[in-house]
Amino acid sequence: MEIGIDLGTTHSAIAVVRNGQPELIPNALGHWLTPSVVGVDDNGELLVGQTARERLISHPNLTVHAFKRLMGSDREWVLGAHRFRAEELSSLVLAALKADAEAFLGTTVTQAVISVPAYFNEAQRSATVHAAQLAGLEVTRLINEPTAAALVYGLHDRQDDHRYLILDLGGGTFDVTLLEFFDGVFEVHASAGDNQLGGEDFTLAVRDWLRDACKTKKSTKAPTDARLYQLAEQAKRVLTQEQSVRLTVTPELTLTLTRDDFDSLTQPLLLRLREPIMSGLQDAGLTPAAFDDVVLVGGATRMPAVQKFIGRLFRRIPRQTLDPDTVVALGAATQASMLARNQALEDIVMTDVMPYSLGIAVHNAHQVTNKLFEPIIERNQTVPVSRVKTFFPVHEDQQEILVQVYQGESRYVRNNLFLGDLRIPLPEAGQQRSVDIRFTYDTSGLLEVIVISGTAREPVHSERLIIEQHPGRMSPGDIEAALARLATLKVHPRDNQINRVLLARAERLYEQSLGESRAALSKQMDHFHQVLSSQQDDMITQGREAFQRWLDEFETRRWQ
Amino acid sequence: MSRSDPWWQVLDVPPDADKRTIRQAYSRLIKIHRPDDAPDTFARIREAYETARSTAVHRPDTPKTPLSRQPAREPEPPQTASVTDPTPEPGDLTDALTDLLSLLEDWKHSGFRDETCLTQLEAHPALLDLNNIAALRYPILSWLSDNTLSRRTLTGPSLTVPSTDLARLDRLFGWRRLERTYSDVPDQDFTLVFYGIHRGRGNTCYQHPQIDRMIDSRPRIRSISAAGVTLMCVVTLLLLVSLFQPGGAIGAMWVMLGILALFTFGGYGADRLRDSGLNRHPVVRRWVAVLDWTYFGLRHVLVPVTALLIMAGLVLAGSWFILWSLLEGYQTGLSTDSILALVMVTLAVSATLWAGKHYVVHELEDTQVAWWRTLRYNRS
Repeated sequence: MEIGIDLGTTHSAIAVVRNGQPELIPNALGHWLTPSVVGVDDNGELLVGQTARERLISHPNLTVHAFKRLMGSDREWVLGAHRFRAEELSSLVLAALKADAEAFLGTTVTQAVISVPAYFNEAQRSATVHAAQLAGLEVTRLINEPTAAALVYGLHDRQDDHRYLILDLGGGTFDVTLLEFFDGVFEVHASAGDNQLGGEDFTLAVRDWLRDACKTKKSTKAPTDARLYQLAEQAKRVLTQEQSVRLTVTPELTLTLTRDDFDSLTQPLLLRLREPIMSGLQDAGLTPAAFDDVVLVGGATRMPAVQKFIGRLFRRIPRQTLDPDTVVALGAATQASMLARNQALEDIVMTDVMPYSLGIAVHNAHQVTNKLFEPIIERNQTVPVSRVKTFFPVHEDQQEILVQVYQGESRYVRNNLFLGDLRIPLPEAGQQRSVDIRFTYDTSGLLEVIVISGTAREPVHSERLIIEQHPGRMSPGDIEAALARLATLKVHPRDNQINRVLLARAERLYEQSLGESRAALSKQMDHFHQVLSSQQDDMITQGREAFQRWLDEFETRRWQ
Repeated sequence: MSRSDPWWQVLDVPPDADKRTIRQAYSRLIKIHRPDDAPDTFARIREAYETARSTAVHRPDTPKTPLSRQPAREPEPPQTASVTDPTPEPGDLTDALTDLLSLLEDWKHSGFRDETCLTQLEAHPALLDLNNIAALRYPILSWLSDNTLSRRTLTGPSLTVPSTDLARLDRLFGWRRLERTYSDVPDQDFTLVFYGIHRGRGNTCYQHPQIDRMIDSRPRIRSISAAGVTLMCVVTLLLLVSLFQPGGAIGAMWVMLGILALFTFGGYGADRLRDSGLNRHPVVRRWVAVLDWTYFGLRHVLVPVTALLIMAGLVLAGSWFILWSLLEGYQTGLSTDSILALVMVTLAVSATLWAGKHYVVHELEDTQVAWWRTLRYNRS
């Protein structure tokens, strides 16, 4: 089964290739997108997706979102009686997606291609692989999100000699990828990015504005941050369509946010888009005019402000012909299909780059404890790649050489990511006292380090170190333990998810409203609970439809 | 296909193949040796392709002559940035440049402290276009280069433009990646700006032979020499005072030691503060300014004036002493006292001369003392 998963900061999606065409798999609610939100309910059971998202406002302490931003870190979230790492939370989302796919396809799903931001480093990548392991998925390949999107666009156009510049502004990350399609070859020239810039930051900017407005207006009581966040999110969405939006912050305070206000609020964020773009262009040695298409991917690129800014930057209208939210999942599925040697894609080859430099620590004569970084594989080299450099001992009577492998761009290793080390004895005095260090990095993210002392023709010693998906911070033991722990947790069954979402939504609305509306809401909720307890399918379906209609109407009335 | 094969054999094309042929050969080969299945072979083909491509760049697409022996990658001509980057509306850009430069001038007038100038510059409409950024890259860098002077402080160099701000601008313009290109520009020396950029990015130990000579070795010598000068002044003053007024020596010693401590540590502290993020705080900034001025005063007023006074006093006193002892010695022969006096005067004069030489060579050389610069640079 050729499955591709886009594990996003705010939303995730899963796609499958059937009859040579990638298609999206809907979740239990019939949506293409599953919110990447995890929560626990009052019984200590886990909620994933839309249900959890609805509870973000009503139960901010029992719900987490945007955990992808801290992938590969040691941060833990407390949810009720449990503690979770970002890997574990992601694995819950992946497990939910997997369940959706299994229900949709009627078979078990064990393998998948998962997309990651191009600018994720090895620790973040290996955290993603661990998350998949915890969800019972084997990752056949990690694909860079912009590359996945480019695959879909490229195969859609099938235009030879076409250069794409993909700008992927997702919920929490920004990636720039420059690539070219020629003679059936997708060649990525360079990738650059900012791991801490995404649509989420735009929402936070609006939230801060709202908070300041509440302070200056000295309104009776400022709403909670979670509530302000939801308002900000809503404002952001409305402004992609409308010129202005009215926000009822508290019953006494109503604010109007125009598109111009929004633009000036978020300008500092927009300006930050320039740096990775510039850096990618410089690495590839190309000018903005050299590209046939500037493609926008990622939900945040729906914002008119972003489109306008990019349009101005490149002096052309950026392209967004395919749904920016789901194109990455489709691309990941396409990649899975390419790996499985699908007939339709046999004449297509894709080469990607490694956006970070790989190298070793070398002696710093000025500050002995602050070692310098010497890159062996420079960034933006096409993988698989193999490079060799020769190094010499610092002291004449040195017995061995310590090879410490790092990833990053800083001149000092202390700012880079440590991947592993090995020691190699040096030849006796009188022989050529040098070592050749060869780095080989392949498409599955496996780094092989071969160190040969002496000359290449007459090696005296040789050592080999394989850094497989980089050990990261979770050891195999940790993964086993986490697996055992996750197995004991109860996740809500998939079947009655729709009912739960409705109830969670009603609960959120209850918290946000006052007086009569509250009374009406609780009446409707009680009624729906009664319908549910009847356990008769047709009655539940009917009751659900009525309840949903009522809630829809209630909500539209509220925002007027 | 072995590792040592030349690229045209790996790619199976004639050595004088044009770019199009090379690319076709490459795409045909990698469909057979896919990156996933045959990483080793792919890496070799890729390497050959990259060499071929960089060689083909220097040839027209239909070559008349067979492959000439050219280095794989020639250094780019100095001003590539402005040559390859199209500058479509020159009139427009002149205005933009004037605008940006006036913003930079405002920034300069605020002593490079007013951050709003930078924020305005970053958000300037002209810089919302990538082509314009590329076209304006060079003029902005040369403005910065003209205005980035290193202020000489006792323990190290301090750039007039804060290095963090240089790094911030570099993030927008991307000079760092063109450092090698810019280093070939004739009559322009960007070393100091790049030093600042690297320093601002946290690479404080950035090594460059020229900079090592200019900056890294300088402060060490200077701080020692300055301390030496001060110490010398203290000792001679003490001697003089104790000669004429034995009781005042102790008080004078404490005063001089205090000045020495201020001199040595004040500058050090000021530099540390200036480079830390703390200097954005107004109180810290004022304190740094006070230290700077104390420092400036000590270095350019107190030390030279004391040195001159001491020298004058010593020469006067010494001449009188020598004259007197010679007159006395004419009658009674040379006394031990007069020999001691002779030695002392010689020592003091040579010490003051040494200190003065150090002051001129190391203190004045790179400061902004205008007359010295004109004198020195007109001569050389």
